[in-house]
Amino acid sequence: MAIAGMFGEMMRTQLAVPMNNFLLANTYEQTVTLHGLLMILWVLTPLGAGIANYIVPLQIGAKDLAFPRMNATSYWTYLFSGIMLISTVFLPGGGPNTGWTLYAPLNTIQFTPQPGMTLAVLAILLLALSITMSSINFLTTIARNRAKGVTWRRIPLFTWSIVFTMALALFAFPPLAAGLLLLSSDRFLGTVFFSSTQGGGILWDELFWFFGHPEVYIVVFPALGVIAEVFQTFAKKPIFSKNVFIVEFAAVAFLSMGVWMHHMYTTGVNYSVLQTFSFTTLAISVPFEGLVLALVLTLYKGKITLNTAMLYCLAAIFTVTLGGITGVLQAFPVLDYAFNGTYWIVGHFHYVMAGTTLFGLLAGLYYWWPKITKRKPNETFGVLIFVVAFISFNILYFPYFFLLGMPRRIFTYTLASGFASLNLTATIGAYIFGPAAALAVLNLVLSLRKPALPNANPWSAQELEWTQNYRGSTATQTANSTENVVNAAADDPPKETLEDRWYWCREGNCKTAEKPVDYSGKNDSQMPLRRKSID
Amino acid sequence: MSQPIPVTASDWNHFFDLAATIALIALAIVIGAMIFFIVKYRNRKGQPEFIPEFRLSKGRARENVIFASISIIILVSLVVASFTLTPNPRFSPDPSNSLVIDVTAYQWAFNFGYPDGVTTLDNMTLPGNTVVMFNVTSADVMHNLYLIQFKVSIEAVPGRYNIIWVTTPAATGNQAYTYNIECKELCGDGHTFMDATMYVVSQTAYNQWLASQISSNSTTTSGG
Repeated sequence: MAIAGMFGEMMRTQLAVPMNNFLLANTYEQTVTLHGLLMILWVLTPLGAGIANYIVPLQIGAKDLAFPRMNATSYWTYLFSGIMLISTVFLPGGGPNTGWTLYAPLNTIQFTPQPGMTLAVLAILLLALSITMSSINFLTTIARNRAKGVTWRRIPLFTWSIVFTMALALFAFPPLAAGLLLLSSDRFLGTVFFSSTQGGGILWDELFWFFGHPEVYIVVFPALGVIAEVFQTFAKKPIFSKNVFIVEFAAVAFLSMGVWMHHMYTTGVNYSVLQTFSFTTLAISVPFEGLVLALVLTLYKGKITLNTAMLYCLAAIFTVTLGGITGVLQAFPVLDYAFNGTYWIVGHFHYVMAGTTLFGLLAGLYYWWPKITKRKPNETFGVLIFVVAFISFNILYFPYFFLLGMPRRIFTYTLASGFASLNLTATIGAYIFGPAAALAVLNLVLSLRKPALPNANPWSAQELEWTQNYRGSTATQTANSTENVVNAAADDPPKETLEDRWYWCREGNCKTAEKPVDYSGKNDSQMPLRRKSID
Repeated sequence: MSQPIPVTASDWNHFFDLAATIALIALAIVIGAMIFFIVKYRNRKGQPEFIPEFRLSKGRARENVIFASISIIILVSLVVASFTLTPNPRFSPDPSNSLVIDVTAYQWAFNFGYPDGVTTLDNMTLPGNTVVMFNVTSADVMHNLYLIQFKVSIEAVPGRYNIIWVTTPAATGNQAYTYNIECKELCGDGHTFMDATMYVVSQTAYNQWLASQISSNSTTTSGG
């Protein structure tokens, strides 16, 4: 992540003043490509999975993921492929210089003969393998390894967001992997899948964007899940209409696989296709807007504590809303004729992906840090860094919306173009945002030197990973053990929804940790995988 | 610059202003509500420890439907408004009434081919007040013909002809307007400097220019 961020800073340095010579054209294109690939595939995608690795088992009362060894394999494949990709810059001819979209036929051996490009293709293939393993692992865990009493309806929202993230990953990465396999075959065996003039370029576009659009939601969903958790805790209220929220998640996930063509409005597809994908793209904004509104309405009549985690969530709501509505504008093909491939788009997707995911997952780290390390990061310092980070983020990316005439991925521009002052502003923002983001993480690390907290639940959070006393695992359970069981209802009949339980708990009935009670009321099964007790 | 704004761009601007205004209002509502809730419902001393139970649950489905309906209505009306835009992909101009220019993009230049066999590199001269149809293809990798001030662009895909058309603004007498063209798709290391210029002149000036091009082409041919 630090390396990808450094590439970003290098690009901003190059673009700070017109006709700069800090990076050469080829070096700049390599930088732009590696920044995109590393940030999207190696940072934003696995970051949510990393937090989920710790939190999801706690939220559903599982000991670990279903396949721990596969989890490790996935991680080491991820790390190895990342090193492999970064190492391409040291090869003769340098790394890939095609942009992260690797458009055909620029990605074929005819136009990018350097071995770094081939290695990059293989690295991405390995990453796709790693993510596929992870998604299978998470889905299996959530489906089969829940503690007794954690029904589907009671699964916390962060875990729900991971369900949809991983389900999307499972469907989105195979087209990419297929594309990369065909591309490898082009590069190794001399086939002409993508160098063919009979639609080779469009074939790559289709395969890539069928992966590429769900990928955006793979990146954003965990952040939304975190925001839901943090809002519930610090507004002391359950989410606004949980069931609808989950349905909206599902709708966005489903629709996200039917909008890929909006990345290809200018490729000359015919009118009916254009209009169909414009409609699906507009349609996806409706459930997505529902998600954001539900999050905002969760604050309504709450009892709100503002702290670092909460502030990062608010920032993420701002970035996802701004990024989202600019996305709605892009859904109109005619408007997109001008947006496509310019800095407007760069601004849009940095708001959606960089802003929402980084702020959202930082909120997640601040929120779960006491759970993970039993330490609380410094609040004053955290808020201060948040203010700097949020302002500099906007100084960095907001000017992009005014750079409509500036094509992406150009390594320099002339003074006459009039882009100079906006680019300089963005570069200043970048110089502040980079260190600020690093300090936000440093604040977390520094808290490790503090003494451990006496209270295991400093936020008075009500979600299952904080309140439930599941020490036990399915493996260590004894026949009459009541551990690893959701024990919310002490002496009341079980409440139907988490929301009901929430209110009931808030009224002081919930002294759960001391009184573990089998929530389901059925002590029937002690099987490690208990399908029958799930619902 | 007192250059006329092409009709595609003024349409674009109007629609963008409309859509962006609605978008900004939506943004203001969401963010405004968020900030209002945070200030209004902030944690104060003296509040009861537990929030008294309130129920949104009865109306929640209805509220969600209302939100969805509002946004669907706004989106559908925007879609209807967008139908009037040019260049509208629904209507294709009649090639017999328009000037057809063959554009071949390659690493890293644009080649413009006129109907009369004239070809120019990285610059083109067009008559004013004419429907110009660009027939765009690529000789090597993907490029993108972006007519910046016209606010239209089309991908140059190898092996495929993509069509985009614009109406040039009227020019009379000695008026000449300069518009910029850029490649918008990363096409290799020379991408940054892959640009071209479009000059829009009056019909008579265009005819003169074309004639001079034809004669210079023929002299080159006879000389070579």
